[in-house]
Amino acid sequence: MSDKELDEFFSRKVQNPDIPFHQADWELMKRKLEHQSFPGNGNIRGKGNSGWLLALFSLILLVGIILVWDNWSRKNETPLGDSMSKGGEVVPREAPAIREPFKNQAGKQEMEIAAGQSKPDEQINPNATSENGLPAKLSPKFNGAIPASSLNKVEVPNNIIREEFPIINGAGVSAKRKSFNGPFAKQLSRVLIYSDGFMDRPSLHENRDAVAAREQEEKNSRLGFNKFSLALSIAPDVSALRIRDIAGLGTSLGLNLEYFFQPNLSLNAGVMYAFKTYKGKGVDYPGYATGLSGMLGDCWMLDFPLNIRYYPINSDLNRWYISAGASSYLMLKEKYDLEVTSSSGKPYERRVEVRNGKRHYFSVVNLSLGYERVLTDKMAIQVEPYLKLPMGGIGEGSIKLKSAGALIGLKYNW
Amino acid sequence: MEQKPTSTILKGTSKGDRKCQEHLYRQFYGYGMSVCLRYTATREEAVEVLNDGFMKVFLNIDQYDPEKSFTSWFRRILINTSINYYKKNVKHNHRGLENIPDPPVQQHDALDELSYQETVHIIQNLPLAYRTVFNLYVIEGFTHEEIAAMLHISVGTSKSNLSRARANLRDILTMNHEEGATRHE
Repeated sequence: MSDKELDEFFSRKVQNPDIPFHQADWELMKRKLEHQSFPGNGNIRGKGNSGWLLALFSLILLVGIILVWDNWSRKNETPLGDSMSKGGEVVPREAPAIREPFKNQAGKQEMEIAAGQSKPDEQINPNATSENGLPAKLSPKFNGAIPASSLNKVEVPNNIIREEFPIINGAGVSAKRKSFNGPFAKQLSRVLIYSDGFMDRPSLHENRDAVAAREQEEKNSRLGFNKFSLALSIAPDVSALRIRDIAGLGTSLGLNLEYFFQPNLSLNAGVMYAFKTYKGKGVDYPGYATGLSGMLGDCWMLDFPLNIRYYPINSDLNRWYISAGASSYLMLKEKYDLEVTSSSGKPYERRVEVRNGKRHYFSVVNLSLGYERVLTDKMAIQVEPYLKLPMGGIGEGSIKLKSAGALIGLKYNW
Repeated sequence: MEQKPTSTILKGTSKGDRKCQEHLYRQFYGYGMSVCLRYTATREEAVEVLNDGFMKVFLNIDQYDPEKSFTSWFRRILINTSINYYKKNVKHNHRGLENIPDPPVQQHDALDELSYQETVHIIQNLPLAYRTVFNLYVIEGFTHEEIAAMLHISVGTSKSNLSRARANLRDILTMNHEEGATRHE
């Protein structure tokens, strides 16, 4: 029997057999299916979906821990903070009242005189008290030792601003409450006295502009305008060669460093480890020679974005921003399942794997719009839907891989 | 006329509906087994490859284009699954011709009356590498270059395996013919 006859004999024999169904084989199949979940029936499946839930849960947990810790810290915080309250008697603040500017440049002395009924240029004797319980003498020398945020202001008659200071032992001498008696003492019951005997009321040095600048600085600090910020980011990602050809969900995870030139303008640089999955037709993979009818692709890469970010909308708790820039892709691993039509007309699949492949420097355009929500003085959370558009072919197959996703980041400012 | 699953079955399968999956399984069971039996050594292994193939079908049913032939798409999946089976087992399978069990004895020497089951049994008794190349070349119609790419072997090895497969099959058929003739006498 020749080769041809043998081939024809076996080809003919195995065509269109009648094989009876075996129920036991289906039972085996059912057992396999019980361990597998499918889309559309409420179960979670797909590339990285369960990992996504874990990442999202971890992020929510981390945000929750930060909020609880911050709330607890505030409740346990002394008015001046730990560094300022050591060794001293700290008096709790009262609610701040309306502040009015000084009448004139000598307002400082006016305040002194009104508060202590003392004359300027007099030295203070920390051990002496006047009839109203205030220190016998007040000094015009002030050196602004107390942080402005520790001060409270109480409006008193005659348009005079009284200020209450926590008593601290900044330099070894503390003024006790009992040293101040009388009606005035209740309003000016907290003073800072240093060992040199001078009473210090730093706010008297500040005019309205300085106070406003200080308040703005605190506001900026609260909003996160520190020079730098570091964000830990994760992003679900869909990639496609054509809009209708989406094969599954990808993932990106990484860090982003932000430098603020101005409160609303910054430069961002980052590194993201990204997994992308996609599919396409043969024409989408020009890197392959001939006969390609379709492909499924998975790739792992390092994405280095470099973006300019502008914050047009700022409020105490919320910020909106737009971002634009370019990414560099360093291909780590690529895996392609190619559908090839053979010369005999029969289709078959071929797998191509590439490691440490091509590098595409600033070859992908980044566009995004973001929202940031302040969590604490130092922390914020941001959500940033983005679009990545290639300027050239990406990877082994030189494919025009487009990506879209939503970056979720936890940001730390300093 | 080629069988095609209905859109209802396809949608249900995509959602993981067990009844739709079972319906699809029953509908293409015979076709799938006819492919898998030729690539494996035993019926149990054929069922395992078939079920792996069906799992891929159920998980990727959304990628099937209803405009095209389902059996072609299914066949491609089964061939790939069989090739994976080959790759997994080729290193452990060193059975030579001397280890091939005797084929079932025929009552007469008419090769044309050899049944499908008997024919498949003969193919199953080939060593794994010969069996796989024989199936891909003779039954599926791939070229040696394509087979070499799929199995990660050289073109020369593909041709060599095919030649040896044919030689083995001739020997088996000859032995079978002689035994049948002897018993008939």
